[in-house]
Amino acid sequence: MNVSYGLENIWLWFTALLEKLFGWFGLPYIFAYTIEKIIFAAALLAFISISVLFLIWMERKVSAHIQSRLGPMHVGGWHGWAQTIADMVKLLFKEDIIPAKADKWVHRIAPIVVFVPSLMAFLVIPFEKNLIGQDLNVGILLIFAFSSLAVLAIIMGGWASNNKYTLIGGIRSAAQMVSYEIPLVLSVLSVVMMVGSLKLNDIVEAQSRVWFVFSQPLAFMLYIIAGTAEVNRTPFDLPEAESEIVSGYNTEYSGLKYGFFMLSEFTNMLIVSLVAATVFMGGWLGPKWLPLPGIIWLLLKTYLIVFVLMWVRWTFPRLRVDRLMDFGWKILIPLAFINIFITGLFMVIFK
Amino acid sequence: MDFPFFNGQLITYGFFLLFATVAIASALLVVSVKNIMHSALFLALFLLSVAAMFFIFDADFLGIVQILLYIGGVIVLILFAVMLTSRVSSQLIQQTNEQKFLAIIVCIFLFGMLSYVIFTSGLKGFERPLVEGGITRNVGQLLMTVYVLPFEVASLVLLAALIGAMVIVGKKDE
Repeated sequence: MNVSYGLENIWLWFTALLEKLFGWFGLPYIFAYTIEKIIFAAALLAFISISVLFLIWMERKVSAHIQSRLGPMHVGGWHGWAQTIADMVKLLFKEDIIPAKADKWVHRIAPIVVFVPSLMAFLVIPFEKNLIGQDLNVGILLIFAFSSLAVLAIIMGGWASNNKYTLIGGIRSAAQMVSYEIPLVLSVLSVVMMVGSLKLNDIVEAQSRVWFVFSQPLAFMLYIIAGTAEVNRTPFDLPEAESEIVSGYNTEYSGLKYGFFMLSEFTNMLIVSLVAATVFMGGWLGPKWLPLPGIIWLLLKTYLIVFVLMWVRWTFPRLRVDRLMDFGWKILIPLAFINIFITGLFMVIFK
Repeated sequence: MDFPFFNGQLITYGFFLLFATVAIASALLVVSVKNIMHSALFLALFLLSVAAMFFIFDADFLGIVQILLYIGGVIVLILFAVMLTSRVSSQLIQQTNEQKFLAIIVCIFLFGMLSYVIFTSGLKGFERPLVEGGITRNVGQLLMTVYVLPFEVASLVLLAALIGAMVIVGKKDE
């Protein structure tokens, strides 16, 4: 394993130094521990912000090239790389409007409630074996639990805006996310059955011989489909279908609050891809003959999946509401159960 | 130098007090705010702080299930139902609590009963670790061995409820 080349060595060296430093001053370990966690959280926040800026730029470029355009070309010089930074600055300076008949507090809190859960999910993702916020026993479940909180915020935003389009967007989103959460969790369950642990590091290490994308292809397909629906991207973007309900639940949001909704949307896409790369494609594991840091392997795999998600978005049309529900309940969930059953059968036969 | 106020246990108690306060305050708000949508949101806050307390006491599996099922499932369904009934979800409609005093009396009795049971049961204080080797594995093993009958009965009840819901929904109107 190529652990010794990782970014984690720098992190472990830094934390050891910090603990020694605190030890010299006679301060208890809990101080050093708290400061380590705060620094890690700040680094995660920086990573997320930069990733989201890059993802928005990438989305625009990929969509442009799929549609035989060039996309942003001028801002910043090389292929318009600074376009999203300019857009974000513009968003910061925009006027913040709360509709007169809106429920003010719920309207204000919704953008926070939408972003915090997607931040929480990064807590348990192992970027490298030791480069992880907290390797909880329930790691993978925590990600799904907190991603299910996002729907609460979407409903809050949709309802508090007091506008029929936002309300319809909120209701659609609630129905969709509750339905597609089931195949999402069930598809990962078959992997968890094979590993026998919910810890993400255990899941990664179980793939040192063969990735789960090869031994659980059906689960991977189900996960990608349900994950696309969970982050509300085309062909499952009914909660914000422009041609039907303006912009869905975030129609009445402007300025920084709208920015938070957009931020969480791209963060959720990053989480779905990171989890897919971790659970199905070996996470930070890389080939033994190419000693690169594990985080580079993880990000390469993640961005491969991100690219597939973008490719799908700009290639397929939107589903109809009733077909969306039919597809989720009558195809994905039975397939997920069949996959679990087959996995269990194989595990009993080849024990 | 010794810092008696900054050991792990005290921080645990501090966080417990914080989340207990949030839980009690939000539970009171659930039954006292006038807007039913706000009640549902405070209920979500209450369940979240209970989940946080589970985490504090090393019951991470329970905490996660609390968030996944109660907030991600039950609260979303409640909000969904409220939003679809426009008469209730409108922000102008106020709800009333007519049986306030009866409810307070019942709550005081329930509180007294529960505290009596807890204080006479001889429960010791909280000690780490609560369960060897994490709670998830133990819960799974117990559900599949000792408590397999209640587990199966519960799943049967859920299946019956599911089929019942389908029958009610599937009934054709004249």
